[in-house]
Amino acid sequence: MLETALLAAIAWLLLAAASFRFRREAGVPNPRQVRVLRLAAAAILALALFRCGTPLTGERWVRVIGGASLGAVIVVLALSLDAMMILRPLRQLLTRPAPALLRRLRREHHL
Amino acid sequence: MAWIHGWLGLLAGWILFAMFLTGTASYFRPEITRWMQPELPGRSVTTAQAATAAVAHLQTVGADDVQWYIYLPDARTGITRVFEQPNPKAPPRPRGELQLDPRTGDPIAARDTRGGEHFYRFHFQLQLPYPWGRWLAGLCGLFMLGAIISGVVTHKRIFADFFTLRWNKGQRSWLDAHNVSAVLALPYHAVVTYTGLITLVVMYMPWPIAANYAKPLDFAQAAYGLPADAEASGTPAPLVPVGPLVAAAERRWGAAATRVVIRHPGDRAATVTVARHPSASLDARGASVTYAGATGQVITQSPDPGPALATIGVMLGLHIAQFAGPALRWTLFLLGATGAAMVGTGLLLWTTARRRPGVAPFFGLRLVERLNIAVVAGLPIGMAAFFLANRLIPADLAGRADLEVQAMFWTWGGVALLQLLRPARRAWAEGFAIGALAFAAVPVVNLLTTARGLPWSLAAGDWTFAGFDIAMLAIALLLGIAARRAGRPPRLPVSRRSKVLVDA
Repeated sequence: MLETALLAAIAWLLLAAASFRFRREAGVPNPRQVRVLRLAAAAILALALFRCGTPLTGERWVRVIGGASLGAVIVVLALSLDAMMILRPLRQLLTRPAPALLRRLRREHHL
Repeated sequence: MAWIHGWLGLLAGWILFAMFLTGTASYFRPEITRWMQPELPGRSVTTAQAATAAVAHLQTVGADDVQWYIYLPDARTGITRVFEQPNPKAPPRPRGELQLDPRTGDPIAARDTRGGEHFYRFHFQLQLPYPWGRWLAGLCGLFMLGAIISGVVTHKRIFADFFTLRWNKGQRSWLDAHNVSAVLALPYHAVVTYTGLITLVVMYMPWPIAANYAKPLDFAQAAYGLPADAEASGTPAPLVPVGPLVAAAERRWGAAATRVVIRHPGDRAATVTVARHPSASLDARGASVTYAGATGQVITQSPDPGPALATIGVMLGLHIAQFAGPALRWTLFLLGATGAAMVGTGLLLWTTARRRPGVAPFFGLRLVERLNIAVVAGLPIGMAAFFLANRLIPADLAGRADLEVQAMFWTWGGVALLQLLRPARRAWAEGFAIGALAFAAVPVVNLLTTARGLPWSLAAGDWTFAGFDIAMLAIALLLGIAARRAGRPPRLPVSRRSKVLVDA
């Protein structure tokens, strides 16, 4: 359950970074990055859904919805206190220069 | 729609807040009861052993009873509870709920208390006589459902404001807090409200059953496969050992048993009905199997529920969440707290939106504000008083369970009246501060009056007691923060133009 709430919280954080309200704090000016963040968030939410099963039929849905709600409350509370600090790791990840290998691949494949 | 949302929320808001708060506490009903009876040991035995021990005790004290109800221990309750239905021809003797040591079957002396059951019952009966409390709770539930639907329709920027929570901005902040607590946990609020209404739907709409069955019991027997109440044969026959029947039923389901009902013990027509534990399925109406008490043969078992019964069973299960393990239960507890926050912030928003600077508040505004303080700040103090009374009223005092309940309501009523003597802003701050002190006092009083204080519980790894005390301290901290914030003087609204002039 804790894993579900944590995964959901990470997914909500990515969605918050992709939202118009927090895009600047997250350093996400590029619409393509926004799409990538949203896709990643959806993938993490799907992962949370697949990893929270129990022997009880149907409890998976209760867990994922409960965990996602709780994760969202935690993320919004955290962002309301200091959005810049909460989004700093994501900002650093998104704005750091690409490694040499990645740059070479991009150049070779004209990406 | 906004008008409907506002008035639905306001008219039912105070009762809904109380329902949310006590309902949220009820997720830990057995744990609260255990904390409130610190004399009870926490022993783990198999349900079959507990059933055998309980039957041995009942055979010595009530062999001529019509029926025995045995509630078996589990990881959360830890003890066996039994009720006897006496033989009307037998000489009267004091009876009632008995708590038994699950290992030996001996009665355990523990302080009389309503425990977590008090919050659970208050949640849908509102301390009113049957059926008025349930009707009022249903009406408020209906208002809540209407408020949820109208709130979603009204909230045009539901996605744009999804992550928006701004502090220290007056009315804007209350609106953000109301939106965030409502929208982020919307699935929970919708499910818990709708399933709460469905839980009592047979009471609210009894006509389909009344039109098709002579008695409600006939419906229950047909729907849930309950055996008809057979008469005693009058021929004595020893009861087969019940423990193996419980074990056989558990093997049949692959899940634990929760309850054993023995009818006409010691008679050739005796029956033993074993019911499955609700943690085995989302469907709260668990399966059951009935054995002949004289032979141990299976007489009947509950049929597979049809779609309608399965649906209502799952809805009840989703509402009371007895299937949930500790982590999911804590999650639901926190989401329940967001529900209370949603109703509380909605009530506060109503007053904040209508207050005008420099204008004396009109009567309705003052009334709503005072009711808000009485309920939002007063009820938590009453709940803390209930816990404190449990530890401060002598354990062997007659009628102490009622005194505990009275302590809660007298304290709540006292706070509701005394706050009228203080200016509203001070009353908010002082109400929250008293709540913080009262909740912080609970673990302290527990430490001073029992041998199960927080340090000893932590050392013994007793997470029921430790968790309860830590939760009390966490609530005290939250109320302390609320008191601090409520005590701050309001920030005067400053226009952008005047701000520019001051900066210049």
